[in-house]
Amino acid sequence: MEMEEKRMQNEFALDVRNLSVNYKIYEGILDVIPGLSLHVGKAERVGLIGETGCGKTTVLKAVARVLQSPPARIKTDGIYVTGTSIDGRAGMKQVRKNVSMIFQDPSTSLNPTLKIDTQMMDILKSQFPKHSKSEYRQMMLDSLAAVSMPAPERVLGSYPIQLSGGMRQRVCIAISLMKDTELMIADEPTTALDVTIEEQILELLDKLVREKKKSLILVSHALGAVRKITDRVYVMYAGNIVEAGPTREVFQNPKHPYTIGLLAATPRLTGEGIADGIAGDLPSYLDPPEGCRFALRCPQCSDQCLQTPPKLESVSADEGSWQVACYNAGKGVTTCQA
Amino acid sequence: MKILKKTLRRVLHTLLVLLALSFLIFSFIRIIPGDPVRSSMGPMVPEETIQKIRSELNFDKPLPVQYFYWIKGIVTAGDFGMSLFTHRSVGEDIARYLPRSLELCLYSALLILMMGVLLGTISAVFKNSWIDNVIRVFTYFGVVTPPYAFAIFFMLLFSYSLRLFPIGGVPVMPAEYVRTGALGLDALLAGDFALYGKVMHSMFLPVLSLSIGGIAYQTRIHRSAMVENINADYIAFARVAGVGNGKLIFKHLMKPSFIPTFTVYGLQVASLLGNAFIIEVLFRYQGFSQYSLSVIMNKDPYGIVGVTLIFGIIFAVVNVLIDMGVSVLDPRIGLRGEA
Repeated sequence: MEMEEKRMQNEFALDVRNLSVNYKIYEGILDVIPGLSLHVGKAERVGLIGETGCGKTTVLKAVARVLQSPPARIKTDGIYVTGTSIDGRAGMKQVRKNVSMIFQDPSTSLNPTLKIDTQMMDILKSQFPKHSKSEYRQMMLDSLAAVSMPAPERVLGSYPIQLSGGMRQRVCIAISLMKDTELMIADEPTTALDVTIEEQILELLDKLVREKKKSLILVSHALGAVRKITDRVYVMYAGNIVEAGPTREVFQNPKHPYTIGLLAATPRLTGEGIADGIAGDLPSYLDPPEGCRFALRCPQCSDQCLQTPPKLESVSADEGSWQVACYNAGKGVTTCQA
Repeated sequence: MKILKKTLRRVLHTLLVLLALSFLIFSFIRIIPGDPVRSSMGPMVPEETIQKIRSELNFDKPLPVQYFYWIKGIVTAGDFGMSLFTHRSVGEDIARYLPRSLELCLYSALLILMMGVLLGTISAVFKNSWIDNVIRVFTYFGVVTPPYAFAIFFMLLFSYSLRLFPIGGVPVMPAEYVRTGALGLDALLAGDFALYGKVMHSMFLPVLSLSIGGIAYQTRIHRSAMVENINADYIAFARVAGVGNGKLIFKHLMKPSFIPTFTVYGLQVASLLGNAFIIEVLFRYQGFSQYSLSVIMNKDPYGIVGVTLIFGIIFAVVNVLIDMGVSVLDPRIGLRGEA
């Protein structure tokens, strides 16, 4: 009920309602995302975690309207950015105006044949028309300064190939910051970078999002960073959200067997040796299990799990802030006995 | 500085290739049986006269010496030898016929670039729509049909049935107009726009027949380059960042797509003059191709070397231009070795 009210008052920066994505291929239909809802509140920082191939990027791309369709077949009950639908032509405008996205790999997200200042200029011109050349240039320098870029003048005159991976990702962040958007989407912004740079980039992102009071949706495999940066976290498995709740509590006391396994798989400095993994692989999207998609890898799978997929249900005292999609949630399992 | 050095090296390289090419052709022609002097003079000329001409043209000396004299003639006097067929200097003949054909090729090159990029872009942007299908069907036909088939078809349709264009030949140029040898250019230089219009009218079908295969091929290359890049991350990134559709397609997508397009285009332009052979014959467009055919048929030694060298020079120059153009388009190539 509370959620409905918030929707009415446009208090969500992002509201995805019942998104489903599938692909028709020669062998049949790939049911990648059967039906997913999530929301990001104003100035809220939300994490989206799960193993590679579970559909995180697909969700983000659908939100930014850059999922190629066809081949993807997208159905939703509506995706709203700051209360406005992103459907159709007007929706594309809304995305251009109010969504910023940082992609996984900075070496492919900048145009290799255009200089940085040209790329930034085209974006500025579309966002803030009718300024003089020197004003635009000042905007560019300001945004590069905001990401603590060394030698911004030289960077502006460079092609992407002349910059290092970390510098390119800083440029991408600077570009995403130039727009005055409420919603910032970061799709594994540090995956393609080396570890020393990873820390810097995530800290930078965290600082900027806090300063500018933006809403952030962060996909990352760096679970430590997700824990540090985000307020709330969604755990995804095979196209479904299996657990959603306040980051601190979910990380401290995970309820879904998959979340438990995922967190246990993270190596710890204090731990002994190599961390535990989860045995098995993601199910095939071509012929997903009828019941819970995690059932076959789950240490506490019951008959019910194999028949009907569980729905997200509240496990917290206050209605709906912590939800788990599992019939046996929190029934005594602490680690995955795989 | 770096670019200058690179270009200079390329030019030197090219000169060496041309030198080797000329020597090869020069030698090969001598292998063809039969005496070119005798065959050009006919059976009635006495043997002494033939021998005299042979020694005048250095044909009685060893091959390397002949080659040396020939090169010396080019370097000192710009003299490419005498044609046994037209009895004029080969250089003079080339200067007379080449500009005409170059003009034909120039219009064709422009048409191929404009239409290829236009159709390729439309096809890629509206991928899998009806218009894309129409364009793709056209490109299949364009690529597989030889130019002469188009030429004959156009002649039958536009000239014979519809009587829209002349079936062949070119307007007569008044002698005082002739400056460069290129028909349209001479008409323009003389300020005679009516004549220029006539020239264009008579050149329309030859240019179209010469270009259609190139347009089809260029369209396919440009379409596939754009389709490949349209899914690139940087296009998605620029789109979310707010770049409008027009700029996205015609700048952010066009520039990287131009790299393969430009490379293929260069090769197409280089082969235009060769493709023009049959077109010029069919349309009775008296240009370089007809001259080349005549010297080859008549086994005219200096003529053949001169003509072949022109083809070599055009290919070499175009290749250098492609390399320079691609390194301008693609900083990943242009900047190599700088870091």
